[in-house]
Amino acid sequence: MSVVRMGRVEDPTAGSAVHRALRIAVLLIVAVVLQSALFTGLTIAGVAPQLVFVVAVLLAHLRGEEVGMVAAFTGGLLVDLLMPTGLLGLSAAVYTSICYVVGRSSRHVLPRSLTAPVVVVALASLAAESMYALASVLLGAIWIDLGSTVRIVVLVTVYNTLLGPLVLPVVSRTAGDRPAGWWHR
Amino acid sequence: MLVLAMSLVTLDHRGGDGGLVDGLRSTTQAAAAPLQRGVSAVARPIRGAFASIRDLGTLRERNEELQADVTRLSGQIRYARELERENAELREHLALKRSWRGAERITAQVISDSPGNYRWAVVIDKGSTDGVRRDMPVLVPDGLVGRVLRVEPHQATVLLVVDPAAGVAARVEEGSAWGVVTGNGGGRPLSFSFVDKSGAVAVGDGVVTSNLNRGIFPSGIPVGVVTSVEGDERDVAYEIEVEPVVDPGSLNLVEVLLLAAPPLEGLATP
Repeated sequence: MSVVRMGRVEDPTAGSAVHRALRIAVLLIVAVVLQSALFTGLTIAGVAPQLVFVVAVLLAHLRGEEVGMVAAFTGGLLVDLLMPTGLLGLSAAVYTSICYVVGRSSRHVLPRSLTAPVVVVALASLAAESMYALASVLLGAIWIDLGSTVRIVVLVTVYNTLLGPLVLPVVSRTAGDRPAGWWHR
Repeated sequence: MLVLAMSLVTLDHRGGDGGLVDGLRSTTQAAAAPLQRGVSAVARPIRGAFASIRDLGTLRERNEELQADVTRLSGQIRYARELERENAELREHLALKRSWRGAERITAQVISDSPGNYRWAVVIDKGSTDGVRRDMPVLVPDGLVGRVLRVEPHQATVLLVVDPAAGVAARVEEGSAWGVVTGNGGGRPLSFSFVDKSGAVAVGDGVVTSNLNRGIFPSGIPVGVVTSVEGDERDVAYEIEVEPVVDPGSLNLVEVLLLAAPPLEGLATP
């Protein structure tokens, strides 16, 4: 039996907030390991999807800005720490900013829409990749040329968008909160 | 959280090597290594299958090219063996040290790649306990992969040649032209810059490492093949694109040359 609250369906199997937080933490760690050890080999034109970011955005979309920001900061920081070069904290800052906006905006997005998470992931990916590139250049990082940057931003956006619907069931089940009328009803 | 993230960015931006940030990175990478190693081993067939599907379109063409190469190279191998024997005799006679081909090396397994799309590096499963040191060259039989950037006891990070921060002193294999090769990211040709127009460069020329100014890399490791040369009479230097011989997306086993910089190439000190 489900309880409808604020346009969402509270999953009765979700358990306590602590259990949910632990599940989300495990999901993020799995996402980080898969991103660095599996998805980096599944490249298209040399570009890999950003699984951790997709997970954080979907969490922000499903659970709001508070959960989304904590997940984004943690996931982004782990990605930064596993990157051999690049500025530590930059992914965390970009992910946190974007997930705050996603969490706030999702209150005005129809929760029952099947296309909403896909559109959110697409727009968030485009914004995050552009912001990361721009911030890196402004901070004086040695960077690739503009053409290559645009190519990567576009490809990551497409790749993340394709990955979104595949990851969504796992994220929604882990978050213990899913929009009504979904596939696993 | 945003303030904390920005503080970390500032700390990293202002700090140098070997600080708190490097310590945090090392600890995290060491902690994640066993997990990455496990996932990497399980995921290897999946990555292989994905790469096969990706390359399906060019498979027939590549097969024909390889067949032609085999025929051509068979003859060259016989000739090279004879030259190698002669070269060894002459080197012994002139008291020259070994080149990179004969240098001591260690084979390492790639356990993870950089999780971001704007940095090109891999983590290997050999570290300081195996004799790996910072700036050692890393290669595969085809040519140069990159150099060791950071070393932990049981793993090391290798900055790939396609990374924009990885400058390599290089020269044209059969000629006098030399310059610096820099990366433009995965899936993009390398830039061969600062090549003086007095040296001849043509499409199809091989580009190899140079140890000019006692650089990090020993001389002669293949880097890539020239695919385009631009520059009119008014330009001081050529603008050259080089296709790397190593595909950064398909790295599995690599070799670390256990050479401390400056490399061994050159005349022996008495």
